Amino acid sequence: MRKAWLVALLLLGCASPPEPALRLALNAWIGYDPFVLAQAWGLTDPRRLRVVELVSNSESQRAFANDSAEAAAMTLDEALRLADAGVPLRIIAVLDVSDGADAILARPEITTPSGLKGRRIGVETSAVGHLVLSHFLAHAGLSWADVDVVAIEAGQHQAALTGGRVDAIVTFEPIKSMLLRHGFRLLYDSRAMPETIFDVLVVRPEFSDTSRLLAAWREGMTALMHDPRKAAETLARGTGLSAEEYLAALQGLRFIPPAESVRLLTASAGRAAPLETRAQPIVKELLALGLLRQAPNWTALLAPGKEGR
Amino acid sequence: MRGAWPWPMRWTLPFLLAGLSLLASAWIAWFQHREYAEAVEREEIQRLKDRLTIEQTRLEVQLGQRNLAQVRAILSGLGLRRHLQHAWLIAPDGQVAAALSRIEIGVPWSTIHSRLTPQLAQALEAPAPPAPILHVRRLAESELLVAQATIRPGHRLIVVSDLALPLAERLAGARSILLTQSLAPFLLALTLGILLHGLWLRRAARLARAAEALGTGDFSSRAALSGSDELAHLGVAFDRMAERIATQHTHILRLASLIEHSPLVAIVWRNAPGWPVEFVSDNISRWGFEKQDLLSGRLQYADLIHPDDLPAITADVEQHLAHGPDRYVQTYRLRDGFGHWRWIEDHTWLLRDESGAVVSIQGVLLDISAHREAEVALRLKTQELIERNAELERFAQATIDRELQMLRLKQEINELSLALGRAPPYRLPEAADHEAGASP
Repeated sequence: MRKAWLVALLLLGCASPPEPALRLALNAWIGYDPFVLAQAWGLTDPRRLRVVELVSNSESQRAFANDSAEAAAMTLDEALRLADAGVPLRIIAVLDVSDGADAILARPEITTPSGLKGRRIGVETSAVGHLVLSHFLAHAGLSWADVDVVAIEAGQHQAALTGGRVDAIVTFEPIKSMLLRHGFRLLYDSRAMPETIFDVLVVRPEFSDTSRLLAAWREGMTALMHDPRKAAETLARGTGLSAEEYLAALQGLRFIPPAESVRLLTASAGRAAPLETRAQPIVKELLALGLLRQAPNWTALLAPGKEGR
Repeated sequence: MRGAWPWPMRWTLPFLLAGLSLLASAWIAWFQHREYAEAVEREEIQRLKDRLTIEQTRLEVQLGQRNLAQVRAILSGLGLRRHLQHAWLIAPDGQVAAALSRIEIGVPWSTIHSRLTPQLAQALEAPAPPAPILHVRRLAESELLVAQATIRPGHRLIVVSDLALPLAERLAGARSILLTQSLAPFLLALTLGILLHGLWLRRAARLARAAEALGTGDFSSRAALSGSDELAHLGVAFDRMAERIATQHTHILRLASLIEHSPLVAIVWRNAPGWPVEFVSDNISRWGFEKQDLLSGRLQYADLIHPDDLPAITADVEQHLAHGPDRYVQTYRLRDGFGHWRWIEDHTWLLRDESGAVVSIQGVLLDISAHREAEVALRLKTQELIERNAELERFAQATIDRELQMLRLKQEINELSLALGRAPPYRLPEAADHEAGASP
C-alpha cells in the first residue's frame, strides 16, 4: 500500500521514465564477440545494454530495421544497403575488418574455384555474402549466370552444406572453422579482398547516448586482448569450436581500436572520412550489382560516437 | 481555533485547495497504478503465451529435424523481447541446448540453476507441465513471470520475463495523461485559491483587521470594502455598525463624563449574597474607594451598609426581588473609603431575564448626607417653631378667653340693661354680639 502511494507520488512528481535497456542485435560473427564477452563477464550493466545474439546477419538487420533493436552490428555494405532502403541509421564505430574470416567453402570434391560452375552456392543474399560471392566469381572467372545462387541464412549454412542442399556456401567465422573441421574445402576467403569487409556499429539517429555501446565494446575488447585464452573458453561455447579453434578463427579478422575507429569515421577539412574513401570500390560494386540505388550520403551516415563517461 | 491553526485562511485556502487537488491526483495515480499493474500482468502473461505457443511449435519442428542451429536461433531471437530476462531450452541430458546467450549452451542446467536467486530457483524446481500445456505464472512477491513448457522430445523450455519494465513503461506512458489530469484540477484549484485570495480572502482579512482594531478600541477603524458581493455587503454593514458603535461610544463617553462630574455614582450589582459589585463608575473614588476593591469582591457592598440599616434594606431588596416593583429608592448609610458614614439615596432598578429571574441590579447612588443634615436641621427648627407657636397659641387662647368672657359679661349686662329698659351700657361689635349670643 505504502509502495503504491509512493509510486503514485512519483507519478505526480518529476521522476524520469524508466530507460529500458538498449538492445544491440548482432549475429554469430566472431568479430562481434567482444560485446558478447562484455555481457557474459558482467562488464556491462544489463539494465542499460542487452546484447541479443541472433543467428544471421539478415535477422539482426530485420531486428534493427523493424525497431526490435536500437543498435546493431553489421558489415559496412549491409549498413549502406539498409540506409539505401530507407532505414535511418548512423555509423558510430568501425569494429573490425575481415581478413580471411569470411570465406567460401565447398564440398571436398570441388577443388578449384572454377569447379563451382553450374553448382549451387548458398549465400545470405541480403548480407555481405553477396559481396563476397561477387568477388569470388570475378576471381574464379565466373559470372552470376554460371552458378545457381541459393539464399540461405547463416543459421542454416552448416546444415545446408552438410545436408547436400548446396555444393558450396558463403559463410564466416565461426561457421567457417566448423565446416573446415568437417572436411569442407576452403575455396576463397576475405584475405583476397583486404580492407573491404568492415564491420560497423550502427544506431538509430534518435539514439544519442552511444557511450554505453562504445564502453561495452572497449571493455570486451580489452578483456579479450588481456586474456585471450580465458575469453576463448567463454566465447567458444555454443559455437561448436574448441578454445584453440576459436583463437585460430580470430586470426581471420583485425579488431579496430577505438582511436582508429574515430579516425576512420571523421572527415577532415576538405577531405572525406577515410572509411568513405576506402568504401568507394564497394559502393561502386554495390551500385553495379543493383544492391544500392544511389550513392550513400556519408555526411549523414558517419557519426563517430564518444564514450563520454 | 485561531490558536490551533496558525496561518490565515487567505493563505491556507489556496494551499489547501491545491493540496487537496494533489491528494486527489495521488489517489487517482495510486488507483491507476493498481489497475495498470493488473493489466500489465494480464497482458504480459497473454503475450508470453501467444509468443511461446508459436515457439513451441517451431522448436518441436526444428528439434524433430535435429536442426539445433535453428533451435538456438529461435531461443536467441527471444532476446529481442525487451522484458525477457532468461530463456533456456534444457535437453533431456540436463544440458542447456539453447539459450539467449550462446555461452550458456552446453552448460549443465544444475550449474545455471545454482546461480539463480533462491526464489526463482525454487520456482524452477517444479517440473514443466506435460506438452502441449504452457504454464505461465507470476512469482509471489516478485515481478517475474515464469513460463515453462515441455518441448517434445523431452526438452524443457523455461522463459523468465520481468514485469517491472513493462509496468514502468506503462506508468511512464500514463504519466503525461495523469499529469495533465492532475495539473488541470491543480491549476484550477490554485487559480480558485488565488482568486479567492485576491477577491475575497484578502478583503476578508481587511475586514478582520478592521474588526480587530475596533475591538481594541480604535473606533475610527473601517473596512471600506469595495464591490457588490456578500463580503462587500458585510463590509458595509460592519462600517455602519462601527459608525454606530463610534457614535454610541462618544455618547457613552459623554455620559461617563457627565456621571464623572456629577454627584451620582453608577453601580451594578450581581444578584448574589453580599451584592458583589459588577460595575461602578470611576467617580466612586470620591468616596474614598478603590474601584478595583469593589470589582474584585474584596469589599462586599452589603458590608459597607450601616448595621442598623442593613436588615431593613436587605428585607426591602428581597421584597423587590421577589415581588417587585422593579424600581425603588432606598436611603441608608454607607461607610465610605475614608471610614465616614454617608447618607446614600439609592435609586435601583432590576433587570430580569425571560423567566423573570433577576440577572442584574443596577443603581445610581446619590450622596444625600448634606441634604439629610439640612433636613434634620430643618426638622429641628420646625419643631422649635411649632413649639413656640403652640406656646403662643396657648397664650393667645388664654387672652382671648378672658376677652370673650368680658364680652359675654358686657353682653349679659347689656341684655340685663335692655330687660330693665335701660340702654345697654356697652357697645359691642355685631359679630361679637352674635358670637357672644351664639355661644353657650
